[in-house]
This record gives sequence, C-alpha cells and structure tokens, in this order.
Amino acid sequence: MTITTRETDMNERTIISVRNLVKHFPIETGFLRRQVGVVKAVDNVNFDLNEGETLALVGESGCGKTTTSHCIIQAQRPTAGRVLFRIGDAEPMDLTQMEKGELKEARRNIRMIYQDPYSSLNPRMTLLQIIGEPLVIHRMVKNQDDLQERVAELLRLVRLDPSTMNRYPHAFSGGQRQRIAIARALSLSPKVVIADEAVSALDVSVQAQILNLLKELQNQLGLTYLFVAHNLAVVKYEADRVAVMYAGKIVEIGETEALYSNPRHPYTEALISAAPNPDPDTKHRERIVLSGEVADPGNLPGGCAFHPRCRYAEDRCRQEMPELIDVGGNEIQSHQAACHFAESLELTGIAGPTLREEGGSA
Amino acid sequence: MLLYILRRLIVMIPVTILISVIGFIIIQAPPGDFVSSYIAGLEAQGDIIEPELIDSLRARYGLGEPIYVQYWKWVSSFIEGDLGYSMIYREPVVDIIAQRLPSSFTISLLSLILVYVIGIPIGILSATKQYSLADYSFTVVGFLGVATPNFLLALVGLWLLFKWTGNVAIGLYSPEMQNAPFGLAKFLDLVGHIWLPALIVGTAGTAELIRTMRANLLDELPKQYVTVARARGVKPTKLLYKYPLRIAINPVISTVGWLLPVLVEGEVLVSLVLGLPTIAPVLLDSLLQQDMFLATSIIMILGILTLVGTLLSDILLAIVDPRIRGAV
Amino acid sequence: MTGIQRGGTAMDDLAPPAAGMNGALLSVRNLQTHFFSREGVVKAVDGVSFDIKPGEILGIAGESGCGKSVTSQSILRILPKNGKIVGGEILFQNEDRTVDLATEDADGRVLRDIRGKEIAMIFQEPMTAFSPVHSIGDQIIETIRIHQEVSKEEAHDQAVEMLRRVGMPNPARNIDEYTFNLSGGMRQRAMVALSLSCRPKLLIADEPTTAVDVTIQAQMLELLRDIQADLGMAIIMITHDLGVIAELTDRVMIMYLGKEVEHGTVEDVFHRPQHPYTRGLLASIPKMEPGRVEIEPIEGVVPNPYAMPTGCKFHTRCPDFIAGVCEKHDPPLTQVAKGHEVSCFLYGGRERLE
Ligand SMILES: Nc1ncnc2c1ncn2[C@@H]1O[C@H](COP(=O)(O)OP(=O)(O)OP(=O)(O)O)[C@@H](O)[C@H]1O
Ligand SMILES: Nc1ncnc2c1ncn2[C@@H]1O[C@H](COP(=O)(O)OP(=O)(O)OP(=O)(O)O)[C@@H](O)[C@H]1O
Ligand code: SF4
Ligand code: SF4
Ligand SMILES: [Mg+2]
Ligand SMILES: [Mg+2]
Repeated sequence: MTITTRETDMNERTIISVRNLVKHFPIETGFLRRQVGVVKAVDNVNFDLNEGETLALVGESGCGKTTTSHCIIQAQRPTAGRVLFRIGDAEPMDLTQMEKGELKEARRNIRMIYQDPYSSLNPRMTLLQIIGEPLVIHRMVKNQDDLQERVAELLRLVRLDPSTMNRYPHAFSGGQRQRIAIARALSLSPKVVIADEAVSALDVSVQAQILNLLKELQNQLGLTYLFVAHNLAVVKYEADRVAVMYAGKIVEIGETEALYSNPRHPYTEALISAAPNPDPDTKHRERIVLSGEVADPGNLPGGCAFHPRCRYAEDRCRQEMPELIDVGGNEIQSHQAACHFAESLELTGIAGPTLREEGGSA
Repeated sequence: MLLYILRRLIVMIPVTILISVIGFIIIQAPPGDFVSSYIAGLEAQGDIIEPELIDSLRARYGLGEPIYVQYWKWVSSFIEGDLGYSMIYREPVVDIIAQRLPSSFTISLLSLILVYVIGIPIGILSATKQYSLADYSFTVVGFLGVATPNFLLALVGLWLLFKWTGNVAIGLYSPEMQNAPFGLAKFLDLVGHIWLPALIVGTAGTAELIRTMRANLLDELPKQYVTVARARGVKPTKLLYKYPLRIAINPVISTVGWLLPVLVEGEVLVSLVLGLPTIAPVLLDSLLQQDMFLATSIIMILGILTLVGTLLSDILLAIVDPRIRGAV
Repeated sequence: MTGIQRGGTAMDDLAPPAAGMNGALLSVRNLQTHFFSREGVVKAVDGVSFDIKPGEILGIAGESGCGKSVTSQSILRILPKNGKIVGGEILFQNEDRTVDLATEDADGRVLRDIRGKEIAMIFQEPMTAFSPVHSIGDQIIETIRIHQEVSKEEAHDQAVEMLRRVGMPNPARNIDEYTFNLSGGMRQRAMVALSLSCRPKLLIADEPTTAVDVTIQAQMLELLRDIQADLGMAIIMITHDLGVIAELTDRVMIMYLGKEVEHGTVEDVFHRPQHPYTRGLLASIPKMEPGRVEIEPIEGVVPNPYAMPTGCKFHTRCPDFIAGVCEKHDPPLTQVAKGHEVSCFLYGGRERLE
C-alpha cells in the first residue's frame, strides 16, 4: 500500500514517519482470561526520523521504547496509527497496512540490534552463518564464495578479524559479540538501524568503542539510527535529536543540545538532574529527586501522567492531559514539550542556571 | 484461601466429568453393545443367562436409547454405588474393590511415607555435600532405583528373604492368619509382611524424590537471599532449613497428588510376583479380559483419588508459599 | 603483623603502623582470593590493600570481572565454595579488639556475630535479597534477634522504626508484606532497612543501584547519604558507575583484573588521574556537559581470567606500555601525592627492578 507524499506531512528528509501510534495490551485475569484493563504501552506517539540522523528514544523502564521500536518494524502490530516508510524518491508506504509478504523490502531496510549480545546470537552457529543468514534468506548472494567475501567485508567493517568467521560466538567477549550483532544487522545494507539498548550491557571502555563504531558506520554508510537507551549521557553523545518518553507518550522532543541545556518538560529536567556525573565537583549541587515511581501504563493517573511526581503540578494537571506543543527550535528542528506550563516554567538543564547566564552575557 | 479452595473444587467438576466420559468410552469400546458382549462372555464360560436378566440389564443401561441417555444412566448408577458386575470374578464390582482397595491403600500410603522419610533427608544430604562420596553413592543407587524394574526387585527381595529366614513372604498375611478375624495378632502379622512390598513399590519414587530434592536444593542454595541471610549472621543449619529447604520442598509437595497412581501402577507387577491381594492385579486382569465394568470402575476411582490428591497438595502449597496465595 | 608487601616490593615507608591500624575500622592488606575450578585458577583478587575509617565512604570501581564483588565477599567470608582467601589480612576493629577476618572460621561464632551487626551488606537485586516465602518483617526481626537479646515485640518495633527511617510509606503494614508485593523502589528501601537493622559500623553496598532506573537510583543515593549522616556508619560503595562514585564517595580505589591500580580521594582520581587505565576509563564515559565532549575508548578487550597477562595486567591495552618492563614485572604501588597511590611503572618502581 502506498500513499502519496502530499497525503502525509512527511518532508523530503523524512525516512520514517510515526503517526498517532498506539499499542495497547489487554490485562487478563483468571482462567477464563477475562479482560480487566489495558496496558497503554504506546499511547499516541508521533515523530519523524530524518535520513542520516540519530534520533534517541529515552525514558525509564517500561515507558514503551521497545514496544515503539517493535511497532515500527511490525514485529508487533500496532493497535492504531501509521508508520510511513519511504525509500529514496518512492512514495511512502504505510507498514501497518501491509501483509507479511509485502513487508520484506521494508524489513531488509530497517534492522534491529538488541541489548543482550549473549542471547541474541545463536550459540550453535558460526559467525559466517550468523552474519550470512540474512543474506541467504533474502537471496542476496550467488554462491558460497560470494557469501564468504561479503561476510569478511562486514567483519572488517565492524573491526573484527575476518579469519574468525568460522568460530562460534562463545569465543568472543561482550563487546565483540555486539560487533557481530551489528555486522549481522548491516548485512543487508539497510537504510535504518534501530538499536534497542545496544550498549547498555557493556562495560564503559567497550561501550565507548561501540558508540564510536556506530558513529563511524553512520558516516561511512549514511545510516539513519533510532537509538533506544535509558542512559542520558550516552544519548547526549550519540544522538542529534532526542525524544523523551514517559508512560507511553513522548513528553519532550527536540535537538539534543537544546533539550539538555534548556529542557522544557519537568520530567526531562528531573532525568537530567538525576543522571550521575563523573565529576566530584558537582557532588554538592542540588538534585531533583523525584518521589514515587514511574507511572504504571496499566493504571495511568488522570490528566498529565507525570503529575503525582511533578513538583510544578497544579490542579489543571490533574484534570487535563497536556498536548505536545512547539516550545522553540526552528522549521526543521522543532522543540516540543507536553506540559501545560512548558512556556512559563524556568527549568534547569545540564549547564545549571548560573553557567547559562554567563554563556548568555558573553 | 477459602475462595481458592472453592475455585479449585469448581475446576474439579469438569475434570471429573471428563474422566467419567473416558470411562464410558472404555465401556463402549469393545464391538457390539456391551450387554451383548457381556452376555457373550458369560455364555462362553458355560453360564446360562436368564432372559429377564438380559432385559433388566438392557433397561438399566438404556441400551437402544440415545447415547447421552445411556451415559446418564451409567453415571447415575455409578454415583449410587452400583458399579456393575464383574464377569471374571462373578461378583459385583463394588465387592471386589471393597476387598482389595484397603490393602492397596495401605501399601501405597506406607510406600509414600517411606519415600518421604528416606528420600528427603538423602536429597538434602546429597545437595549440601555435592560431589562428596556420599553424594556420588546416592546418585548411583538412585539411578539403579529408577532403572531397575520393580518386579525384579520383588523377585530379588523374595529370594533374599527366603535365604535369610526360610520364610516365603507371599501375600500380606501368613496362611494361618489369612482368615483370622482382624486383631492385634493379625495386625502384627500384616506389619511383618507389608514392609517388603511397600519398600519395593517405593524404590522408584524414592530415587526420583532424591533427585528432585537434590536438584531443587542445588537451584535454591546459590540464590542471593541465602547469601544475604548468611551475611546477616544466620546460623548454617537455620540457613538451610528456614530458607532454601522451605522453597525446595514445594515441588515435592505438589507431587503428592500424582504419586498415588504412580504407586498403584508400580504395585501391579510387585503384587503379581508377591501374590498380594491388592487392586493392581485386578486392574490388569480386567483390562486383559475386557471386563469393562471392573476396569472402568477402578480407573474412575484412581482418577478421582488423583484429583483429590492434587487438590490436597495444592492446598498444602498455598499454605506454605505466600506467592501462590498472593496470586489467588 | 609485619610490614605489608605490596606488589612484591617492601614499601615500609608507606605502611601504616601495623598494630594500631591507624584508626581504621577495616584494613585490608594484600588480599588474595582465588577460585579453583576444572579450567584452572582464577586470581579474582590478587593483592588488594585499603583502609576505611569510621564514617568514611570508600568507592571501589572497575569494569565487570575486576574483582569488586569478590573483594566484598572475602571481607564477609561469604565466598562461593570454590573461592579461597589464599593470602593477606582483613583486619577489623571489633569493639576494642582487632580480628583478622581472613583467618577466622567462615561460619564460626566470631564471623556470625560480626555479620549483620558490625558489617552489613546490600546487594544489586533487592527482589532476590529477600526470601520469597517470608515477609520482610520476618527477616528483619530475625536479624535483630540474632544479634540483640530483645523480645519479639521489641524487635518488631525496631523493625518498624527502621522501615520508617528508610522512607517506607506505611511501615506498620509494610512489615508484613512480601517482596513480590512491593514496587522496585520500595524493595530497595526494604533491603536497606534489612541491612541497617542492627546499625552496623560498616555497610558494604555491591552495585545497589545498577538494576534500577535513574530516578530510583537518585532516590537510593539520597537515602544512603541521609542514613549515613544519620547513623554515621562507614560505607564501601562498589559500582562500575564512576558517576555514582563521584557523587557519593570520599575516596576511591580503581581495580583492574584483581589488582588495585589507583587509589586516592575522588578529587585526585577524577581530576588528576595518573594510571593509564584510570585515564582511559574516565575518557570513555560520555559526559553530561554542554557542548560536544569526545570520548576515547580503551582499545582491545579485557583478557580471559584463565589466561591473565604477565607483568602489569593492563599492558595488553596500555597506550603507554614500556616494552621490556611492563610485560615482565608487576608494577609496585607508588605514592604520587599524599594519599594518592598508583601502580604503574610510569611513576616509579623501575629503579628497584633487579
Ligand atoms: N506482550 C506484552 N503484554 C503485556 N504488556 C506488555 C507486553 N509488552 C510490553 N508490555 C508492557 O508495555 C509497557 C512498555 O514496555 P516496553 O518493553 O516497550 O518498555 P521499554 O521502554 O522498552 O522498557 P525497558 O527500558 O525496560 O526495556 C510495559 O509496562 C510493559 O510491561
Ligand atoms: N564462583 C566463581 N568461580 C570461578 N570464578 C569466579 C567465581 N566468582 C567470580 N569469579 C571470577 O572472579 C573474577 C572477579 O569477579 P567479581 O564478581 O568480583 O567481578 P566484579 O568486579 O564484581 O564484576 P561485575 O561488575 O560484573 O559484578 C571474575 O573473573 C570472575 O569470573
Ligand atoms: S502538565 Fe503539570 S504535572 Fe504535567 S509536567 Fe507539566 S506541570 Fe508537571
Ligand atoms: S605499568 Fe606499564 S603497562 Fe602497566 S599501566 Fe603502567 S605503563 Fe601501562
Ligand atoms: Mg526495552
Ligand atoms: Mg560484582
């Protein structure tokens, strides 16, 4: 199913457009599996992924990051909404409306990498088989020699020694396994890579290697990344734009530097404040420590879902759900936040208010 | 908790109905309607059957009427305690079961107790002294216990007993006590005879239990909460029985239910070899000779016993494990 | 007790006077803990020394497998069966007596009395820190009654008080709850209450914030800070997160493959890192600072624990590697400033070779 560009509000740079995406899971109890509620895992999510950029999806556990990614590649079918995908100048296609067979091309172009390089690689397959499998499935190689050549090339791309292609994954360290997973994801020359917590389980020294590798690959191959993570510092390093999720919704989205230094949503402010900084000088700064815990997407509070933990909450927040509105940025890089007081609140970003004033006066 | 038991009871209803349907199908399984085959069977053995008996049988089981009526009639007479008539024993099925079930039950119960009394401590020992000599020996013995057929054990036991005492332990009572009224003397005689079959019937179960217990404990022992308890200053003995044992024993409790039929099954050959008046050989006979009323009745009773056993173990589990209670 | 041997070189000038423990609550000296298995020996901790004073917060940091947890398990003597302390001392100032925890019977009276009462520990997974079939109160009361002669009622009251102190919303009711009924943040608090129930002098926290969300982590760090100010216990904070170290601790020890590589105040170590590994580690972490700050990974991979490098364990990845020296000899700990020690040949130790 294709749609003309005019029908959508996709601009020329957009490669994936997520529109009003909703994914609900039923909550069932008893052996009769009576439905007693829904988990609003993803609740009306909108964003555009532009060609060649890295957009990060951040938020705490259970906020719907993985579910959003899965709904994009149709590993889970969304409850509602559209996922428009466009290759080159072709008309965009709505992946949510396509049958399994029709999705083949999209799936070749949008690949996923997962957090756990231990369980996502089959221990009984060699690197050649693991990395070559997608090539064989999609009939992208002519013969065994061709396959070996292509796999060797991919191994070199992720800085692994091609002579290791006949070994099994257990012979590799965590960081090396993540490289293998990346090589596999890149085997079909995709346009978009969704990395779901791809560096979260790695030690810092190895994490840094993988972060840099992902950047190099992006420059070299013109990849577009949807970078799912919960570590704000990692996201700041890796992403051009950031979308902050809370309880199934995007609460703030904007260009990285702007969002970190000038957050417009109280939740973003709190996340930034809570992120531990490896600098003892900041030890005694005032931190915002949120009380309570992340809202349960199976039992959301009314109004703004963040209100029970928000220190700026007022009566209006308990009744009315805030919409995502423009709070700055420009034509191409808009900055949006979903808070009733986004325009008026004085929120603190990474530099701290004093430093920012210095920057302003200079 | 009460609600939980009630819910379990409600769930048991459809299962019981299912068992009875299976029982009914077994009765219906031989070719022809079962009264004809029943009569054919009797006649083949030279019996003269009164036509009135045939008619009354047909009427009672609703032959010729729709299948659900037949089923209903059979079930209602079953509930009333009329289990039919056994053609091989020429006795009402109720009487046969009444004679045999108690001794079956005693042997099974005794085996069950032996299984626990022997299996649990050895399982604990094996797990806490993993890879010790004792652990290895019990593992080997346990393996043999599972692998050796019961009847072989029965034969060996019989032979050993004969060698040592010159006494042949056939049956549950000595010949002179067979028909004596039940009293202290007869009871002592029973005790003297019953331990061998109980032990033999229990071997496989014991070996199995040692293995389960050992594996469960080995799963539990390295868990963090055990380390945490140790780091709080809890004594090593208490560390074992208060924490991991409590959890490791859960799966053991939940096996109480189905262990019963397993034991009855184990009884079959042992009873044949040792000539015991239990229900097991009767079940075998009835199946071999297509004595359908007898077979079905025994299967139904065993089925219901299993259900009751499972219910009991579920209730026990809910009592010891708050996670199960919580999920109710 | 004689002078301590560090890295094979007698450094008596640096060694604290042995008997007095220099006012330290705990003094770990040249600790060596090895694991024995079919594949070989893992020298999980191989010569680690540090002191901690009453009320001080010490951080132990390093990447996965460097021996952080094994160090803490050695102190409390709760090592897995195949792990053994093969050398060194763990001196603990217990009332007015110094005991060497390394040589005591692991499940004997002395250690059982210290565990939970003098030294307590919190672990990474609060869910698994409690027995799933006992209420949290049951376990807290049990701990109190192991170490204090008080009635059940009194222990119950103390437990409620401790739960209140760690910020449980409804202590009188929470005490009868099971961990599976509590949310993640509440479990963390219950776990802190459990370990602090006897007001230990030393709390060892092994990655207590690793498995939780950042807002819960912030709550936990705040709680530890408050409780520490309140009860005044010393804390050993074990984590791979240098952000957490910078935020909470006074001094830090950086470990690599079972060795202590650098040790000093957080300010010294973070602002003036000396060891090539520490520098590499700090350069690998993305910063929460405005503008672009590049990160530089440490090249190579952590060696297999069964095939440890000879000489300096870091030499396979070190950018400053001195050929002919680093792969042959163990670098000794060298003081580069007061209270700031580094084990690297760049800062000395070569002159003493051969
Ligand atoms: N198959 C499912 N059935 C029911 N609920 C689900 C299912 N998958 C996810 N959820 C719920 O949806 C919500 C969002 O889950 P999701 O995995 O997308 O979160 P996430 O942001 O990726 O979290 P994490 O950081 O823990 O990976 C959670 O509350 C989760 O419990
Ligand atoms: N039971 C064991 N048997 C064999 N080796 C072990 C055992 N426990 C730990 N080790 C080894 O000891 C070394 C140190 O492990 P330790 O758990 O102390 O690391 P850590 O610094 O706490 O790492 P992490 O950050 O992953 O928790 C590792 O190489 C590990 O493989
Ligand atoms: S809408 Fe209200 S509750 Fe929600 S983030 Fe804004 S101020 Fe806080
Ligand atoms: S001793 Fe040598 S190899 Fe080791 S850290 Fe120092 S310079 Fe590098
Ligand atoms: Mg996820
Ligand atoms: Mg550890």
